[in-house]
Amino acid sequence: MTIELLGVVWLSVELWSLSALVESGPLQLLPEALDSSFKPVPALTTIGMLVLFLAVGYVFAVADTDDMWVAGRSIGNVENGMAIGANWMSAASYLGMAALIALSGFYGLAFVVGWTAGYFILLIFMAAQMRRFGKYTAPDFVGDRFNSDSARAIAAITTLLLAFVYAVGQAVGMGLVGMYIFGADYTVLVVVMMAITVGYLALSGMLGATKNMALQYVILIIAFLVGLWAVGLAQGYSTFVPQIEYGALAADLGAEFTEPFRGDDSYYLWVATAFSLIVGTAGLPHVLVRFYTVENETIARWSCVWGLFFICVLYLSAPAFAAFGTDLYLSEFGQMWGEGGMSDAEADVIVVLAAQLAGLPTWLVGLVAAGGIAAAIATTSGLFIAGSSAMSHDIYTTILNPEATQRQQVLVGRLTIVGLGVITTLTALDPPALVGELVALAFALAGSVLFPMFFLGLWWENTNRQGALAGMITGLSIWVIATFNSVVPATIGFVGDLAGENNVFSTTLDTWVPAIGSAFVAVPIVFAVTIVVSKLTEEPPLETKLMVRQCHSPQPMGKDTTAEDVVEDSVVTDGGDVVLCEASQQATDERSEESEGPRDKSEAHDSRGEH
Amino acid sequence: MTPQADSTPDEQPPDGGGTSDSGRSNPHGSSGSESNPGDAATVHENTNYLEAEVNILRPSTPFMRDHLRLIWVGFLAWTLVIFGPVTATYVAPETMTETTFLGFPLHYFLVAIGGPGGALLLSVVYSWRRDRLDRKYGIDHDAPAGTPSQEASGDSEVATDGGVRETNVGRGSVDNTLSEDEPCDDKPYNDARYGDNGRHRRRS
Repeated sequence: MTIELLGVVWLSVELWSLSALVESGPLQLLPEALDSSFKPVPALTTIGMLVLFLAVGYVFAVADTDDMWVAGRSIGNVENGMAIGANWMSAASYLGMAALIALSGFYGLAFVVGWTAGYFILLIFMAAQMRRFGKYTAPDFVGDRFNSDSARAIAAITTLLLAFVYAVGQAVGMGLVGMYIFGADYTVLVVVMMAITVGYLALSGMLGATKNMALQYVILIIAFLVGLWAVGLAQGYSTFVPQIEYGALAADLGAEFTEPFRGDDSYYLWVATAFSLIVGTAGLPHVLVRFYTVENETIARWSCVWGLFFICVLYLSAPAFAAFGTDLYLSEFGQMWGEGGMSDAEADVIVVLAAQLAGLPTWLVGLVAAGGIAAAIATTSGLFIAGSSAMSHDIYTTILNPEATQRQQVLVGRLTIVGLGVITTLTALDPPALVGELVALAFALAGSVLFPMFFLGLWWENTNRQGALAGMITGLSIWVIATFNSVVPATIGFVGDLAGENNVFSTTLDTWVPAIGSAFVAVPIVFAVTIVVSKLTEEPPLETKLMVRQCHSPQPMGKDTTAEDVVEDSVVTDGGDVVLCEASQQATDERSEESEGPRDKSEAHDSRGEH
Repeated sequence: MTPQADSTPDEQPPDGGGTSDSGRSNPHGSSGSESNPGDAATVHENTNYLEAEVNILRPSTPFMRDHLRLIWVGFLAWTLVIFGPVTATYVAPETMTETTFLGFPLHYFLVAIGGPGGALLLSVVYSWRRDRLDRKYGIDHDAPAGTPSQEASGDSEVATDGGVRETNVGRGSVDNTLSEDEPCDDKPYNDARYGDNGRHRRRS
């Protein structure tokens, strides 16, 4: 009932925005070199993939919130690693990475490094501790660790903002690649593709999405690797290991491809960008939520390792694809860089373009293109889940309506997904930057606001509410200022007029706090602010400290136990009369009565309800 | 390194340090730690982790010390692998760009392949060493509720009382095997912490 209603609302909003745009004559992104026409076989491949995703999603469709958010916390190493990989392999990785390497050369490698190296930081400092903390979402962690609904709200707003910025990049990717397959307008394709993603998400919860993501990873990586191998073989670039064999070609492609620190891309910018992406990785809510879905901390660690492995498979291949694409483009059009060279829109589809220019059969090019679409959908669904849970769980249930029923929560969650879908679609119609750069902005945000809270929250028990609030506000401010200085003027016309020539307000600020690498400056400042304010104010309560200690204890924890449970139990025991096992037994009974779900994994949920 | 926290009087610093040293110097890592698991495991059982302060700069338990040593060594190696090549390229651009390796200019190879590959390798090494640390301290994550102390304290009687059945109904059949132990998961933990006192209380 609700779903149908939402479907109708969604459809009418989409149709309205579509007609408004067609009337006003929207700007059209057009990768000119791309063979844009309707092709039956690739279209069927794409539709087949999407139907498969929807079918899997349908089978696992659920209406129960607990299943919707963490997939029953029952997923193993490799499967969770694949889900991490699929979540990660967004349009930014699948398409945007090769685009950045092709256009920006050595600077593009900062993205390869930043988006892989961050997993090591996540692994050694956070993955297992997060699992032990055992909360559903990033706002949950921040809210419960710092005992503050304001902190929770800031984290939730950051999560929503992240989902939005990140998803814009995905929508652009879907629209551009869709042109090769369907030949329709960019505008129409963005709208249709986003409608499909949102429709799919409204039907299936995270259990469906998780199963799905392992499947999507497999399809995705096959499409990418088969495309790469075929291009390398057809053009005689490589044989079996194109990931290594493109070396000589890269050296021949010219200074632009390999020369370090050319033009504006200084050493500082390289390091700032890589750093920003690294801390962003460790602070990204839709990545962290994957660690809540596993049974214990050992699995959390190893699925992080597997996730990095699956990501590396793609990231070692992307530069090879970029090199092949660049060489093919050069021999076809003569010029690659600068005026008259490759446009941003062409760069963003370079993976598909390389396959097409290499003369591969249409069905094979179509497979590569379909993989790009699958990549975008997989990531968008993860992001929208994180965004919708931030809204329904952290803002609506915790702050606005503590009495909310499960039905209401699900409804708010779905409405958020639809809302996010609409604004993402509208923004994607006139994107301000390359897909990869858009996504990097989201990373700078996560790195500036959330990463310091996770890190200090887990590793220094005296971090308190005041420190966290001051730190998060500082981080958010730095990100907003940097983005407003460097990105907004190029996006919104009248702001650009105000900003002047280079579309930046302050060149100095843009040099030292570039929007894409703002976390490099923000993280040390936020750390300092948080620590100083925490030291100057009252220490956090003992229960909070106990929770932090429990996160680091090497003692095994039960499958569905959170640090909070353990601390509560220990407090009960200390109190004297109550027998421990009965106390925790009671808690379990209350929980199962409340949720009435097939499984009982709502500790975080219910304890919130109780207090 | 840093002074022992006052709150963990049971542990004996020489023991903890000695164990970790022998574990490190022994080339056959796992067998080394198994040959004297008693020391570390005893220290572990006598440590109340909920009373040990968490501060990344001041580890307060032997386990935390060992773990942080692993973390910091890993972090240092990671910093070199990730930011070393790009810095070297900045400092000595000619050497780095003119040297070739497998056809690549050296700087390109070290960043494009060395970076992601190095991070993956370090992750594997860290996770493997971290698992070894668990073994050294006699910790088994696969059997969270099946430790001896549980049976010793007679938990199974308590766990099979009426309440559990109700819970099982709520949970469906999937979890039957687990749920019997689950409500008492943290019990061995509490036993270790409160010793006889906790046990006595439960019996009464």
